[in-house]
Amino acid sequence: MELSLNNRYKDVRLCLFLFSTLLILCLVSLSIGEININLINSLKDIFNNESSLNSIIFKEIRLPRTLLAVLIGASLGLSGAALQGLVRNPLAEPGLIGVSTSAALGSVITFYFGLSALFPLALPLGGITGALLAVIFLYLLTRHNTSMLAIILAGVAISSLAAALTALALNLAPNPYASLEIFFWLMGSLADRSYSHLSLILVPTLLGWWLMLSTRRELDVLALGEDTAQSLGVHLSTVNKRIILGVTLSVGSAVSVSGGIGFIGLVIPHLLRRFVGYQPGRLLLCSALGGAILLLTADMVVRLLPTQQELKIGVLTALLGAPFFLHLILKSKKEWAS
Amino acid sequence: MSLSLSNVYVSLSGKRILENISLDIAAGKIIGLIGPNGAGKSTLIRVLAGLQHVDAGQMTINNHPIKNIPQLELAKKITYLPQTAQCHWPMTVERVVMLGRHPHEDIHRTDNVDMRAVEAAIKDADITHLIGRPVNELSGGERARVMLARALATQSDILLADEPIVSLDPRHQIEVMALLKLLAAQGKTIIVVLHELHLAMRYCDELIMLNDKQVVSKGVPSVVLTKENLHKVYGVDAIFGEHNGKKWVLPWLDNKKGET
Repeated sequence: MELSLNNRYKDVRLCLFLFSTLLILCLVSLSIGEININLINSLKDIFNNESSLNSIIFKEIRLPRTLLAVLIGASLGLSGAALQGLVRNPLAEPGLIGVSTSAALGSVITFYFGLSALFPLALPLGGITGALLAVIFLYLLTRHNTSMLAIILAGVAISSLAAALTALALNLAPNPYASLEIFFWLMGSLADRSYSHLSLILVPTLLGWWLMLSTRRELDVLALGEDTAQSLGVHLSTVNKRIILGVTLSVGSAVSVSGGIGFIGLVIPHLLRRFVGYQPGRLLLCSALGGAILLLTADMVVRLLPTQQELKIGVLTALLGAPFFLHLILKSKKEWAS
Repeated sequence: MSLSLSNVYVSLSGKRILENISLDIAAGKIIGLIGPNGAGKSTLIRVLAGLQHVDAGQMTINNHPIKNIPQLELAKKITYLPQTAQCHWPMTVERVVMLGRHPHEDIHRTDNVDMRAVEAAIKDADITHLIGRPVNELSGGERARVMLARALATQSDILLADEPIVSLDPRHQIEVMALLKLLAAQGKTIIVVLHELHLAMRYCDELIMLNDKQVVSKGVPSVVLTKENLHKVYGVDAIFGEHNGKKWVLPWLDNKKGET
């Protein structure tokens, strides 16, 4: 009997391939832009403590932007894969359980009350708080009913409320400039971000990744449904909590510094699923790498596109992602309908 | 490994489903759980699997209360095969069967014991020819046998199967029942929900007949499957016969509309 069940080498190969692609893209991302810089020269300048134009662009602008793209992209890809594994549906996305919209609301509130103008870090803090409130709400609403349908419906309710409150803020904004600021921020971007953003989101992001990746074995078994998974020794409520908290921490902090960047968590797991035998647990790590690759590429595209004003990255991912989403829905109707 | 329930009561959304169920199930037997739709069979099997919250009563395995056994330990002792079991992703047959090894160890690192268990389960469930195919492309009966193989791969002492043969063709129905009988003869405890009364009579060591939340009859098949019981519980007549020294039963109802 020929059974191909040993996945370790396949997974290592896939992840190595994705990782080296990401590494090359990082180097490209650091070199190109409005001004092309020579990486080796600027590195030399940095080590010699000489502040050349190249080294400043490299260190203060390109490096944090590239690192943020990697961190946020990985969070979005990983969260999508984890959520899809949890609810056993390829259409699930971080936005689905209301975390993204609530994080956006949290940040918008800091705009609205001028907190972000008083001290810049209020913005990310607002985002994380929004995501956290969404999850506490979600937890309270679904505490007595662990079925995924209940969680999704609760998420839909939270999203709608957050979207309505965001619209209210736009509606009642004291001056048109505030509205415009909120409006642009909601579109999502990685431009003009600094190390302070990076340091603020690093810890919650990594903690979120760890929580999600720790469920990879259980997610595979969950493919057989909640009852069977439970009878095979999977502790359902632990898996639920880890993934929901993991998504909150990583996506909540990501949204707070980048604004709304959608569809990465939808597209990447879908493209990679076939390479891991459709096993949701094995999908996690490579989706993180894939998400980082996609967001970094998208960020380079918006930087290089000769538009008068830099295209917002959230606009680009939505333009590409929405048709993809539609395609998935049409395909799912045939494939996944029961 | 023996199972026992004492005075178990279960309600689902405020409605009583099982009432005062007490059972003692000895090891090395194949027990058929029979009864009409809605009698509480699936709920009872979920209670036995430790998946169903009970209002009152206790369940023990080898005289140990089930609630004191850690979930992963329980998963090694009891395998539960739900009705219309399915896989939500188009994974290949062998990967699905491999998931049955989850209680034993890291399914990402397959060792020889796991491989042998998976191979044996695939052979026993007669799905060798389906290896490499995505489960969602299989027919209902083929998928049911893949799920049976998944349950067999765990190699637990107790197997609880909710209508495992309902979508199988007659030959595979008989083969699966014969396989379960063989496993029981090897010392496993098998509890299986059945509607196929002729197979229940032929293959089960004992039957538990459930009707309207309660156990109405239990014992060897010839004691449970009587004309009176079948009439009372299912509302059907029964025709009995014998072939090669084995008794069989055929449920029958006269004057059905549409029959010529």
